[in-house]
Amino acid sequence: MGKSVEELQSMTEEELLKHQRKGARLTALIVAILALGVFSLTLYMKSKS
Amino acid sequence: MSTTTTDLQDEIEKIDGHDSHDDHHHGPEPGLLRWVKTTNHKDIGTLYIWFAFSMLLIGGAFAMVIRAELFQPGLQLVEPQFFNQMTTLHGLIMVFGAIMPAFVGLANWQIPLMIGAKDMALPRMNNWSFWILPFAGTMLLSTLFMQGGGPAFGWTFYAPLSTTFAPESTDFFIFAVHMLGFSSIMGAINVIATILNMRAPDMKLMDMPLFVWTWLITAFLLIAAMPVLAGAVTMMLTDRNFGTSFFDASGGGDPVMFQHIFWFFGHPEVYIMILPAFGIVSQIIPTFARKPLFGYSSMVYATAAIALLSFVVWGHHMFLVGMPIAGQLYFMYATILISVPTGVKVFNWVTTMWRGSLSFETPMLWAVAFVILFTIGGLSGLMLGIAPADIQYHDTYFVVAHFHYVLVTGALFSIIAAVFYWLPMWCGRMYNEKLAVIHFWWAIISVNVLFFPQHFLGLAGMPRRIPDYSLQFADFNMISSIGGFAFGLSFIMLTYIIVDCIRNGKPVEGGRAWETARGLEWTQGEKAQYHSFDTPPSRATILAESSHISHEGQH
Repeated sequence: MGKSVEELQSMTEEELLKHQRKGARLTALIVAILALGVFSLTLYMKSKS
Repeated sequence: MSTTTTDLQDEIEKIDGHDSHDDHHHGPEPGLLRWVKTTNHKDIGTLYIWFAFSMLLIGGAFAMVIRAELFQPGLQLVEPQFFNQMTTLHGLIMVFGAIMPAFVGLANWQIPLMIGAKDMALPRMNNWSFWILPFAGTMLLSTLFMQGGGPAFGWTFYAPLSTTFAPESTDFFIFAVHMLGFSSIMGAINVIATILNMRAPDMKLMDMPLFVWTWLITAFLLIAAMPVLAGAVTMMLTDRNFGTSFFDASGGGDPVMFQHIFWFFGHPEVYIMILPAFGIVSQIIPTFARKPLFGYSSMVYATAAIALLSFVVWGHHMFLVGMPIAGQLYFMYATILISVPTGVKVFNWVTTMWRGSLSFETPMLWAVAFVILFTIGGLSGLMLGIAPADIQYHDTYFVVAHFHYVLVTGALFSIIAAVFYWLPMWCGRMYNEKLAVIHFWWAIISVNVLFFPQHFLGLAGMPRRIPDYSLQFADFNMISSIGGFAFGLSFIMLTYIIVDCIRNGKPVEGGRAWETARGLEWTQGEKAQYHSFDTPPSRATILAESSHISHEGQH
């Protein structure tokens, strides 16, 4: 997330893992919200039809 | 490990709420609890694959009941109501219990290894995703023993069959589908987060192996499709229990709307079960053709195109509901359009093999069988996509033949190919090649004896989902059933070959199992270690292990 390849390469194993997991949690949150949105939209569209 | 590093690691654990000691620096926990508590992607992949295999055997047993009843005309073995329960649960178990979990298992095993990651991005959620499945599967199967029997409305559970006229056990079926969907969504979230965030720093998206690409796109399909299924079954639940009328015409609802919602999920679901198969075949063919994959970027774009198109063609399942001509034309042309990116893929696989130094070890045999037989399934799909012709084919055995060519000789064969391809790396042992080749020919002949005559039955007008039929369909049904029993038996041999490999297989020595295999997963030595990639692979390693760029002069 916003770090160059060189910066990532200079990180220790733990730092890299921490950085990757932080990004992964954000990605997971966005994707989960998307899934919830699709579910809500399905119910909403049907209730309007 | 120095004190400073240990301190830092403790700090990470506090922030992450995750015990990376367990995950990255110890071996597996002894005893059975290892499998309950594990957050290791390889363990979870193994669990998924064995679960899928168990479900495959159960779903296969249901298929044997179906084929035994259809061996002769007339009612021989089971009541029609039980026959309908068998067709319903066979479909549901195979789709949600066998094929999808098998691909998620392969994703768990392979994706972190192929992108140079230590593990999946969210290991605890990964454990949860798996352990929901056995409970959901058991609940689904338990409906067979409930009052009124299990669901008997087909795997498409059209309303009002599944609402007004369904047995009481349907509520358990709904809960099971909710749980299966929840597990799939969590699995998809994990796959997306892993691929986007956990890649080796030097690996760009267009460096990723095709299997990883196809899974990334599949995961997005899951995110867009599974919540729609969840919505459909939620509305079913409220229609059945809380007095709503989403799909009840007498209350102002619309049963046809159920079909629209179901197939808006159902058609992408077909691609959820086939895109990872495309990825597997794209890994195997270059290895045994000893050539880089032809048209890597076109493969990526074709996969994305298929995924997008899969959301705009659902109406071809419903040509007979009373659709305007314009609607039929649109869905017909959109459906036929999918053959373009699919044709790109088949062309690329054939071109990869063209003038390659081909050898036909077991994984390659399955991969080539996939290309040929999946193409047959695709071509019969094109026939079904033609709106006026579909009036004749709809709800006949032609449809059954079509989707079994796609899902058995397509999806299932790719899974078997993947297991033979990667099993030597997973367990460090080689399977019995001679037995595996015999098994391949046994399965390939029997599966065609099983499904090919069903084309003729369908064209002659035999409807699907019936336990009895007219006399003119007797011969082809008998041939199909004989093929079915032989194909069913082949799985006993498959089980023996795999267990024999794991327990007594000859150890893989001196490097990778397939000397021409490329990919980061093969850099682990003879056997994949419990923990991988303490140091992310370098750019040089990533390029050297790419199966889609030329390495001429290196061999």
